[in-house]
Amino acid sequence: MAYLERAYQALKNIVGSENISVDPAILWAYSKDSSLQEPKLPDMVIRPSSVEEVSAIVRYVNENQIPLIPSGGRSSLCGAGFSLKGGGIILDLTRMTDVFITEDNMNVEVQAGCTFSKLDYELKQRGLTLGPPGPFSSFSATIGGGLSVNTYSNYGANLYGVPSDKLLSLEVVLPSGQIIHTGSAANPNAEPIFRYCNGPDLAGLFLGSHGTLGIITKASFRVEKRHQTEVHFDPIFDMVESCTQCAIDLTKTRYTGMIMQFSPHFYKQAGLDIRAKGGGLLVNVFGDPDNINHRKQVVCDIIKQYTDMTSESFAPIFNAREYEKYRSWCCVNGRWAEIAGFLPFSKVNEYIAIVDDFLKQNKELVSKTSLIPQYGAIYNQNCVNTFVLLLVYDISQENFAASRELVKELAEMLLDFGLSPYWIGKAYSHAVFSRLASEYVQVYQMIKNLLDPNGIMNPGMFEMEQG
Amino acid sequence: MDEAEIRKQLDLCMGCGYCRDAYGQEGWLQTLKTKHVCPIREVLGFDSYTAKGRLLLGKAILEEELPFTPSAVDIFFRCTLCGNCEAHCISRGLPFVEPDLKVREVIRYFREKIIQEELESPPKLKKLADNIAQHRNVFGEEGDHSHLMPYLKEHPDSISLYFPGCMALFREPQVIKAVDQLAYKLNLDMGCFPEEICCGNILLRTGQVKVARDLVERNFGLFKELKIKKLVTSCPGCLAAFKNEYPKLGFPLDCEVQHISEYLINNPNLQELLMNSNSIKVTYHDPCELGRLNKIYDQPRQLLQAIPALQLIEPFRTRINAWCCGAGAGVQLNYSDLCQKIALDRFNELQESKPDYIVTSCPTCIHCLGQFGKVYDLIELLIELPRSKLIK
Repeated sequence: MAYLERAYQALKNIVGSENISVDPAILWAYSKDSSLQEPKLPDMVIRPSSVEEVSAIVRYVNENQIPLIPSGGRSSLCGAGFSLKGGGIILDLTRMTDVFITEDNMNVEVQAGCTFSKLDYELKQRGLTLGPPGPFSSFSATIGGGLSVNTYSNYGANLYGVPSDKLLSLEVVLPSGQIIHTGSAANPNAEPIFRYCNGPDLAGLFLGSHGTLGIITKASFRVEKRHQTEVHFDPIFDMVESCTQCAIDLTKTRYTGMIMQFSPHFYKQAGLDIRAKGGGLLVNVFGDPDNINHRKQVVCDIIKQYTDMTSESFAPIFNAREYEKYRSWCCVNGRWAEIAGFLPFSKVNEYIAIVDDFLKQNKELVSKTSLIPQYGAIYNQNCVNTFVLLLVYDISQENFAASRELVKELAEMLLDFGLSPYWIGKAYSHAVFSRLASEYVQVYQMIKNLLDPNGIMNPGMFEMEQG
Repeated sequence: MDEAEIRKQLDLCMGCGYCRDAYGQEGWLQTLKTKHVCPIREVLGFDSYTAKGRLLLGKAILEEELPFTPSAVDIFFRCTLCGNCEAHCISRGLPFVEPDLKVREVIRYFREKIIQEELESPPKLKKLADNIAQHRNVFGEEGDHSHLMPYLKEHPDSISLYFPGCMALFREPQVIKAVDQLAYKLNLDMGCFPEEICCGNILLRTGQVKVARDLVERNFGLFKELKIKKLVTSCPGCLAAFKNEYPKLGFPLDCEVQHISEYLINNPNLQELLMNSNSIKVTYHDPCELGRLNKIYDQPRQLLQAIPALQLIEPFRTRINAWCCGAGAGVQLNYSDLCQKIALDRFNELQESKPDYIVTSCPTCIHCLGQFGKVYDLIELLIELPRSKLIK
């Protein structure tokens, strides 16, 4: 491939020979993420260390119309961060990991390749937190990747929302190679301290764009004082309706950092001997020594209005941050698929019933494929993030194929019910885009054509076919 | 493991990337405290050197998507088998999960395959095998080392046999001298065997099982003949060979195998010996094969803490999170630049607390980290301290 040789020589001069490779043995590591998608080999991987290097790389690939795929931890479950069509260049941003904390302004600037857990660690040293510290895979998921796929953070979501809610400013390299700053930092004389100023909120264009419109190279966030202590509750209920209403009431207190609702079957599926006809909650109360007892009492009183049952053995396993690992534990013997997205509080009960029915109807297939379904909801301030996990224990190819079909069918059903997924990826792009209003998709396409006329950015990510 | 088991292992990896980074103090199972995970990846940069990268590569090779190219071979050999990726793997020690993902076993499988298929492997491996075949030690050198062990050599009929290992014999003799002096002072019932031959660990870890098998059989026969009850070593590599590898090859030793720290920990006379030390700060480096592989974390620390006025300061990455010295599994031999960079990183970390002594309990770690400053063997410190006068 002559283009590859030319590109290698040109790009090597930008990053140095130790940070670029066209060797297939090296490239296999970049061939997939954590999803059920099949691996695809890129033609090259390149590892820039600065925004200037990113810009120079993008200028070259744009001039030569070479596909470019920004990549971070590749830990997503939706099919992102790798070459979806095969070939092209992986832009590995994990050399860009600097964190600059400005305590006086309560904000942090962080480069795109920094992992969420590194950011959390650095903030913790100063008694600070982002609020929502990052996704399940925060040990390896990067800031740039997370923002690009609208990542979610269960922990902290009830109080602080999602990581993007804390965003102040982005530094983005456009497909032309131009570097822009959004929000207050659009003025070169200003600092990245506010998002909604200097005209339209251009940051929003790139959040969730899955690397199709530009490359996020740096982000600034508002940070919070870190809570010093937390208390867990794990009530279980006789009725789903009580469980849901309890979660809504708790959300209104603004004392709870995380509320997770589990379906009635969840406990059994997780291998726990807990009978909860109406499901249960995991509630994390955030506080400091001087207020935690009061908050604990308020939360306890609300829970008592709905139930006096608790799954005592549950909390130690599921305590907040550890839950993310637990969930991964479940899938480790194989892989998993997840269908996640937002619904209003008012639809939670119906959603649980729909998933229940679907699983009953597909009982044979679920059993045959050894899938273990787990589903529930995580409470944001004004809506829930629902999740259906299909844990693939038996990793034979047949089961994978059957699992993929099942996931697809359920995803389509939930989208028709009104589910709004935060990440889309290759796995769900067709199902999602085919349901979006045509005007919305047209505007996206216009923006895409304007910013990326050569279509170099992450080709194959969004399938635009409309229903 | 056979190919079917390896394929199953490869499928266990979900690609979460925790083998690359696991930043934070509130880590996995509340025990992990680290930043990055793979020392090789931190030097070479590409994710191809993480467990995830190596497993994806292994899968591609087994699926015949890619042949064993020289760089594929290189990726499998550029690994110290330190096991840090396994320690941080999301599959580690969990409920609902049958086996953990055994990354080290998988990498060794591919190394063995490379050697078996006579593909081009790192050139120094051949020299290593030749050295051992001809001279029975990894360095291919000759020498009478009995002068290092005046006490031990006088006790050939002891129930315990001290096995120093090649690195201590040929490169770090102070380790052996210290053990001998301690044995003398404690009047230990321990002897040595002057014609020691290599345990074979380095061969096994570099995929040269066929050559290693000869050593394993010889040592197995020898220990049987000597009728020893206990085999004691200063070298975590030798410990791993005798304890972990020999049984797998069908040669389980019928004697107890112990690291010197395990052997000494319950000696009632030790405390008396350690009466005279000054106030000192010590930091301890966990060798990978002693710690992560054989879970011997406490005994060396207990020995250190038996020294009065000794303040043990743990480095940031310690115990199960300890950063490798960079030497293991043939990396020092074949990729010395890479090894040096890893070792310097670790040495600097060990120095962060400005200790009076950096201590470890592995001759190979001493040899590797010792390029940048004095690193003491645990036993050497026990012997040294009563005689030393520290200048603060």
